[in-house]
Amino acid sequence: MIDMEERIMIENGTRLDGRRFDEVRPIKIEVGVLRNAVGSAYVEWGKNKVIAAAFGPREVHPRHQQSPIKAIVRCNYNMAAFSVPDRKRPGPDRRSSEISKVISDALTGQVFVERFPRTAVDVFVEVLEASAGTRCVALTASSLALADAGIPMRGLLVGCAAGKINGEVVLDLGKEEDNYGEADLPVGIEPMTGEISLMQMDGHFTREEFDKALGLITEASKGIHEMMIEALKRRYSEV
Amino acid sequence: MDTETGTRKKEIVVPGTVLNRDQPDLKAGFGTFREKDDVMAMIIGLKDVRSNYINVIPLSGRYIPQFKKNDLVIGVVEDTNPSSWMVDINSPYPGLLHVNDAPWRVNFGETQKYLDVGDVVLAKVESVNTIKKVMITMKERGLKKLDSGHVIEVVPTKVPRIIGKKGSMIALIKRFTDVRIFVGQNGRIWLQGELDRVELAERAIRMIERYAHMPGLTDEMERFLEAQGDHVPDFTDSEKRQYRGDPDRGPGDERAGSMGGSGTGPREEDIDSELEEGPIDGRSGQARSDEPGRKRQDGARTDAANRPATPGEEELNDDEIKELIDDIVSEYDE
Amino acid sequence: MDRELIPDIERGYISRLIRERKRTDGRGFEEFRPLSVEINPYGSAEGSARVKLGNTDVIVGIKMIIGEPYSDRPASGVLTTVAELRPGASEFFEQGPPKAESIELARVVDRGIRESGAIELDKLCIVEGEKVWVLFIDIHALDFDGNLIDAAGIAAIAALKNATVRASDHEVGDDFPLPVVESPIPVTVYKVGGELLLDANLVEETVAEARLTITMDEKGDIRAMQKGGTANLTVEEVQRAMDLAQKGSNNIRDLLAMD
Repeated sequence: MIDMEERIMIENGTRLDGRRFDEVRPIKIEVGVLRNAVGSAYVEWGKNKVIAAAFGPREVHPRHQQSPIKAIVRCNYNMAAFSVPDRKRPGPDRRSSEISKVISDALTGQVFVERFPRTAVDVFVEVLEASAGTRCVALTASSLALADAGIPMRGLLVGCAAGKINGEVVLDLGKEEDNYGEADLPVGIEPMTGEISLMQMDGHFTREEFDKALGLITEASKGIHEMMIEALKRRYSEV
Repeated sequence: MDTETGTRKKEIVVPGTVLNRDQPDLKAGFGTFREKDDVMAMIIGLKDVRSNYINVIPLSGRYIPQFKKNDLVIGVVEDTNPSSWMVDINSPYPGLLHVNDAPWRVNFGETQKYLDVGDVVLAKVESVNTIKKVMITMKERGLKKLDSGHVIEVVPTKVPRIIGKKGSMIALIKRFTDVRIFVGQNGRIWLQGELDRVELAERAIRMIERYAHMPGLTDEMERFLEAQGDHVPDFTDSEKRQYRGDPDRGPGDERAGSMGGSGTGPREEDIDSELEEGPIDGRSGQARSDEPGRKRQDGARTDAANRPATPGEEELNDDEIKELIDDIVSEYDE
Repeated sequence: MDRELIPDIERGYISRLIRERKRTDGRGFEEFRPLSVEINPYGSAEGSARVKLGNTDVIVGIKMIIGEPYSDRPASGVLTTVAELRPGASEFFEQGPPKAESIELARVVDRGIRESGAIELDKLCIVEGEKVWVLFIDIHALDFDGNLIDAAGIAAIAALKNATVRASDHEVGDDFPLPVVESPIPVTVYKVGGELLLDANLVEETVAEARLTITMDEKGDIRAMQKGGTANLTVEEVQRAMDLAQKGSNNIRDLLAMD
């Protein structure tokens, strides 16, 4: 139910959960959490809980989808029925299909696909608990899973969103902020170059607000990137 | 500097890591790519510098047969055709075995009489073309259908560690268990022997897979294997969970991983060898020499280490084993 | 790779082991792999549990909505069980709508819970004939290494026992714990190489000639059964399977009680 009164979500620079405008929610990353998948990663981001399983390179099914000269990179984003307050009917829906596509495109840009003609690299992302910004978490987890699987890539991708609440541009919207905010900008970014591999937006931004939002994301992506690297290293240096 | 022998604590790098910040003149070797002045890692692995090249040794990844490597592989027949078989070699690319490359005289349409779906073969990769069509052969000495025994799968990047320096680790296991073992570069291992010995050998291999990065591995292995006489330790919880693939990969993987090496002694790539030249992907193809500084007291050891044995099998006497163990101990212990 | 493509010699190896009363991972015939149960890891669910049985990893989430009762049971809550065998859990799970495997899994787990009366459905009525609690048991496989039925069954009962009916969210009263009065545990007995085993791993499950899932309640009475596989079972084998299932379900019930 949308409350038509304006909700105060940021007061004296403090948001509902105590964060400042440029703070990301707490993130926990664990790489190599599944046995069947060649690579895997589990990411907790705020209340989001997302797991990604990567397979490949492997033979393409159905055959007609294969490319003779390169690998195809396919991400399948799926929300568990119990991941949201109002149970989600199992199975693909339009939103999941769209998210799957934009993540697949972003990941494809990173993978050295020419090295594995006629194969597929598949990542299956399951959202186990959703709390705003799941597609950014999904992109992050997918990138980690691909790295864990030993897939050759130009680099890791960081997913992070920014938005607008009570007229202020803020980083990493939480659930309430996403529901009642004025704009949402999920982005997938190459942390080393600052180049953008995934971007969607809905709501209302002036040009200046957009620049500010993108700036916040770019800045935050560096720290998230460090966390990703640390998690990958940890996976390969502990018994 | 990474070029020193005995540098075991190699740095783990991830895709996108810039590798040549401090050494801008180094060239892009295996597992790396160049963008303008930067040489960057393309896979997760261990940074390795030798001569003028920076390489990244893979810690993960599936087995991809490489052109000219002629890897020894263990395959499972997945399809039969009138004059060929399609063989699963634990790779996204199946191996095609043509009747002309089989050790029998096969008439057209009679392929199933010799190899049927589900049969296991010891074969070699004969060729890999530009679009990764793989041909395998069984026409070399020692290659054959494997009629009984036990096949396990390990992470392909661990294969060099399981084989060990000049085949030493696998020789250790064979010696103590009396089990016949073939280690395929494609991450499949075949074992044959008495049931409890095969069980022991498999557990030993899983231990290597799991603890490969730890120092003192060989002592642990020896203790474990020697105990077989009196009391083999019970399977631990993690063994009962039966690690498939390896959750505990670590640094110290000092071989070229799935992208190089083979089962026979002379072709083992020894990263710590000071005479190693060129990138690990074998572009320079230079001959290997034994390390300097290793006293060669008896010709017998040299022969044993360098003799082109039947793929994967080496017969060593007790003295040779002891020397090999000394080598391993000195290499792996910190 | 086709699930059936286990090398023939490997089948032979397993048979040899079985004849020596051994298994590939050193377990006894009646031994379960290490079991771990995580209670309520997901706040979005009214109840949830994540079970790891060896490398098999499965989540069950409980969701509840208010809906209409069945016309023949106007004062009873409604129960539905659904299973998702996600392709990320195994290269043998395909994308797409539920296949026979996932439907069977859901129905077997459901049967044990329903037939044992584990959930007091008559306590889930809000307005007779109009509004009742509709319960969804969603099984979500994360990693598959055999014996998913048992793992899912354990997760289901663990999730149910720790679930809360969030009546306050729907403004129909105060929250209360989901009334669960039984703990049916499915135990699947696998016939491999002529012998009966518990908790098969993936390879064992693939080569098994037949399997029999027996769901027992706390008293050891039988509430649901399901035979799978193409080979037959003798009556004597069925009786032996019952004994194994009884022992197995008691062991698991003890483990769950300890959490």
